[in-house]
Amino acid sequence: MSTETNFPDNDLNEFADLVLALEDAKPKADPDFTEALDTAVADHFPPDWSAGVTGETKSGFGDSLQRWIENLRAHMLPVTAGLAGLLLVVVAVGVGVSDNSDGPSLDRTTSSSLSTTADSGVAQNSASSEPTTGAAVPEQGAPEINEFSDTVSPESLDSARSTSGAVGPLAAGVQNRKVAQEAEITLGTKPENVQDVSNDIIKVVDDHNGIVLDSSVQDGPAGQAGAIFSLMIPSNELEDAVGDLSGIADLKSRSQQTEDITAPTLTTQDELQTANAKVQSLVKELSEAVTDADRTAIEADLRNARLQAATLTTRLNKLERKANLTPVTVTVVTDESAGSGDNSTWGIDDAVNDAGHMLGIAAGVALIALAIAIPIGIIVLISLALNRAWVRRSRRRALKEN
Amino acid sequence: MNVMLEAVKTDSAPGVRNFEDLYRGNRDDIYAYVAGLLRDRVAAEDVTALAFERAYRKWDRFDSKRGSARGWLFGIARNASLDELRKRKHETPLTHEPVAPDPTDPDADLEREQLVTRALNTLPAEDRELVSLKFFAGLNNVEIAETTGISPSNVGTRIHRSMTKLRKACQEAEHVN
Repeated sequence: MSTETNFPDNDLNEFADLVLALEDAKPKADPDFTEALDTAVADHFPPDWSAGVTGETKSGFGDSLQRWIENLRAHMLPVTAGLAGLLLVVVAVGVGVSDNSDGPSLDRTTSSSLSTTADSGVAQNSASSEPTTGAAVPEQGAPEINEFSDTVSPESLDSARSTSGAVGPLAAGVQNRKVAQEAEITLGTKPENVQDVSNDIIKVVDDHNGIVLDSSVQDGPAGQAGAIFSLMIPSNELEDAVGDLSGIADLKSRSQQTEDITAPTLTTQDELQTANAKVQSLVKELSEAVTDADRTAIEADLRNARLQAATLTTRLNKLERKANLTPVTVTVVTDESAGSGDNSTWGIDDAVNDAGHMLGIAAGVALIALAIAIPIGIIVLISLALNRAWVRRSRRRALKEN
Repeated sequence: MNVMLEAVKTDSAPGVRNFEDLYRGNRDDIYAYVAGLLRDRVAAEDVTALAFERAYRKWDRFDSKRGSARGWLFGIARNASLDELRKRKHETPLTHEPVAPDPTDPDADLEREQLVTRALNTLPAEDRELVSLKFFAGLNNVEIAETTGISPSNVGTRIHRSMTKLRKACQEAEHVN
């Protein structure tokens, strides 16, 4: 016992009797306890060591449960914080994924506004010939043509398609438009694949309830072999059909034209209405005619009026058909370098590209994992630090309060 | 104890080659300190055993550069004791056998020891702890500072205050008798 260490002599002298009494009063452990503890230490604290030392058995389910609860309580804060952090990250990732999935769908909605507007116009046209108010109608007799075409990559085409709906004379907000469209697609493939590509084109047309007006398939060497298809696709299927056709082989070019035929349609409808009214008026006049001369003259006018009405009806039907069905021309060209989509030319460049792609995916996955793990780790570390501080504080408080 | 423990530290404090040495050199002091702080023999046995088990589990993480093995061990025992005090606060009051002098010791001045023990038990835990560390466990001021986190220069002053309180408590207890 080193009571003298760092303890001033005068203090030792002052408390000498007390120090001696304390030394004598030093608590001594029970020999049975010390023997049991010696054994536990020698045995490296086996699982049931506490039964021998403290007399408590901790082997039953209840004791295990109690130990588990005690451990849980001891680690309650970090565990809770970890779970909360995990939940937070899951929610954040979920919201992020939801946002990502919402983004394209918004784009799709925007991009389809062109076709939707056009389609709804077509649908309404076929369902009812009642025109809308003139406010939304452009200048009569001046059909507007909106063309967006070029020889571009499929990706940029998709991009162009997704943005084209928001611009030009077919901007959103105009209802019941009548739009006539045209599309031209050029696909590239190898000479030996022309027939397969042609069959695929026919299948796509069938899938979209289209019509093959004309087709021509030419065999031969690269440059000579090819095919051309004149198709009619329902306008409301046009976007999907063009997308499917573009994916059959290498897309060389794709162009789409739109023509706003709202004005001529409305004009024709008005003229037809007028013509029909005139026919009915003439019929009434004819029934009231007294003289043969009057009747002859009215009958002549009636013939002309009926002829004009029939002509206008035919014109209106043509316009409606033009809005409902879109002519699509698909040309298949051949050259040796064209891919057929069957990866038959897969080589070292493709391998490098694939490897790069895989590395990119792996890096992305690692980044996502880090994005999840780092916040959780930070939250857990903060929680552990808080837990430690809380335990220290409660220990200090326990010391002060006892 | 014939079995040599596997947990051997060659870079630990001088004289403490392995955990067995540490245990042998500090068992009784640890018990005395814990019993003095907790005022309960049964709880002191539990906490002492628990402290040595914790120390055994953490022995491979002990770094002698950060302090003495003895100070480290007493730190573990202190934390276990304070946890016991925390638990008591939330659970049941003291019902175990209180710490008292051994009546079978023929050399002991039993009356004086009982008086000191009773007086010590009336002191706040902070004072009991310092007195126990200093006079039951025999730690020097530097080791007490390591164990409690009090600055070494402040340890002497705090012990002096505790001893003053103890002396006063003894006088009051004597007066009551």
